[in-house]
Amino acid sequence: MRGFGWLLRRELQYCFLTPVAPVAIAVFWGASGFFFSFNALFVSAVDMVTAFHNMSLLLMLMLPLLTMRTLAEERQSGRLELLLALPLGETTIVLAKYLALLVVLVVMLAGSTLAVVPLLLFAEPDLGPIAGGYLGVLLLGGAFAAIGLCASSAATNQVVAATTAWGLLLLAWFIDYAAGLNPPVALARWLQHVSFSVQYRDLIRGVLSLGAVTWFVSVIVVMLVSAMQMLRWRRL
Amino acid sequence: MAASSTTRTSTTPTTTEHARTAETRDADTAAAPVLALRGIAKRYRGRDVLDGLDLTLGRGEIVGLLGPNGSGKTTTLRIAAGLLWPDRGSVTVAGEPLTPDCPGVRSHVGYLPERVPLDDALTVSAFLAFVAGARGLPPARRRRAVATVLESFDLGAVAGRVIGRLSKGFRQRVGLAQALLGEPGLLLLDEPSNGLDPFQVVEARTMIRRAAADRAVIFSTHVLQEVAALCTRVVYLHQGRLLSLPAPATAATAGMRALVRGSAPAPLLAALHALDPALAVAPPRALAAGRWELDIELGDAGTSVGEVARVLATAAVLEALIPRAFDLEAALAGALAKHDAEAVA
Repeated sequence: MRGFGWLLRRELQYCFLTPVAPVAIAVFWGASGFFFSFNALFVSAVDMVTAFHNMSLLLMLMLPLLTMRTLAEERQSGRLELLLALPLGETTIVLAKYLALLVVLVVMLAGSTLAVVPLLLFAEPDLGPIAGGYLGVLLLGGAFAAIGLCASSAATNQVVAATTAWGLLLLAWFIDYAAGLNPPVALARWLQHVSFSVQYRDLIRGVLSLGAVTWFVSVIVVMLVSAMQMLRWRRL
Repeated sequence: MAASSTTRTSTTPTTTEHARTAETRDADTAAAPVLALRGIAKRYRGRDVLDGLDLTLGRGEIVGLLGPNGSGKTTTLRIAAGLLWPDRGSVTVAGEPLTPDCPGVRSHVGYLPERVPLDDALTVSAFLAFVAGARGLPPARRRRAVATVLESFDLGAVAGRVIGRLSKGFRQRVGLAQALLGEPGLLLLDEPSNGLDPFQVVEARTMIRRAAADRAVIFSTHVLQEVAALCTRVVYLHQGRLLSLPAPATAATAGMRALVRGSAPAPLLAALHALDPALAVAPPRALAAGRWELDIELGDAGTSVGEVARVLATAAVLEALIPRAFDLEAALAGALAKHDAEAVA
């Protein structure tokens, strides 16, 4: 993939040389720290499962704001035209942008590991499930980012990209609610199976179940391939 | 064409001649064309924007692409850059077909979009390094290429500055510089002087001329003076196809008005025809005291004003010779009128 490293570097420069990533990271750290401290001090509940749950919701809110610029803003500003005129394939462009988003996501989650320090000081936590939980949130965030990137590839406007991504994420999160409408059993099972809010429960408990991992990885692959196709289709 | 309304005594070098010349040029460049667009058709929202467009470009050519708004100039450039795929027809760059599966072919193309969209957050050198890297230049060549364009476009002083803080003129320079990284054989410029002040326009023209020394350049514009100042060939997009116009750079002098004294104009006309049968001479107008006024239009054979003057001076008494500058606007109007007349016929 010619130019992948250069495009990744450019994406990271764009994220970290502008307030985009620093502000998002700071807000994520601040908000997740606040929720963790609030639970510890006022609810007397210090558990990472709640923290991971809060992080997942924060990521659902924040990642569309990061992904909307990846392609929609580039298209709006005209920079995508310049990018597509370079000898870079659509695969290279989408993967480099996705990897840059993952780097920002990893930095976000890495900062939140400070929450583990008081647990280590005042209790004897089992670090295995915590590490598993972090991997689970990373996987979930990766799926959010892929959906956001796909929405961004289809939109010509940043606001539309972010709103579409939120719509898709909310649908993916709450789709199991439809199972309460007494549909046929097979459909109810399917709705439960595809719902992010159902699939992520095991993940944030640190249980990396094959079904959940496969589901989120499949979502990521499908969304990234769709984004590549969308870029190709835009050339038509 | 300035005198297209006058009856000519020999074959008039109108658009037919120019088109033939353009075809000959095309034939010359066909041996190694840098860009070949063949039978390109593109339809937008139920309208045929391009309809069987053909264009071949060779190294060293600067082609001006004229046309009204919405005529398909940008679409043509975007297709040549691989940003759009035509509905019909083929695009070949440096002998290789430009297809969706071969992004590598785009390394032969330098492209400057109309709005010069650059990475505002990056410094000039970081941005140029990115473009050079994305074009697949190895490290040593990349550094050399960036240094070369920084020097060529006088960007050294702003190399470390963030692009978002540059003036429009400097942004244009950076835009041109990035298009030249990796030394692509084909340069596509979409209204390169759009929004620039007069000084910056002159600067941009100088840079384009410099850039065109060893590559093919095609640029779209609405400014006829720009075309006249830069182009070796002019094409006009009309109803989805290209009309070839005379090249202003080679036709700086389109013709002349001569005042001669002599008994009869017939020997003069014969002498001029013997010199160059493509010369178009309007019927001589008789003035007082055996003087005649001749309106002569130069053809594409390369006959100079001096040669015509020598013939006139030999065959009669040449009193005055007033060269007439090439008028692209008139040439354009003539070409369109001829095309429309042919369409009606």
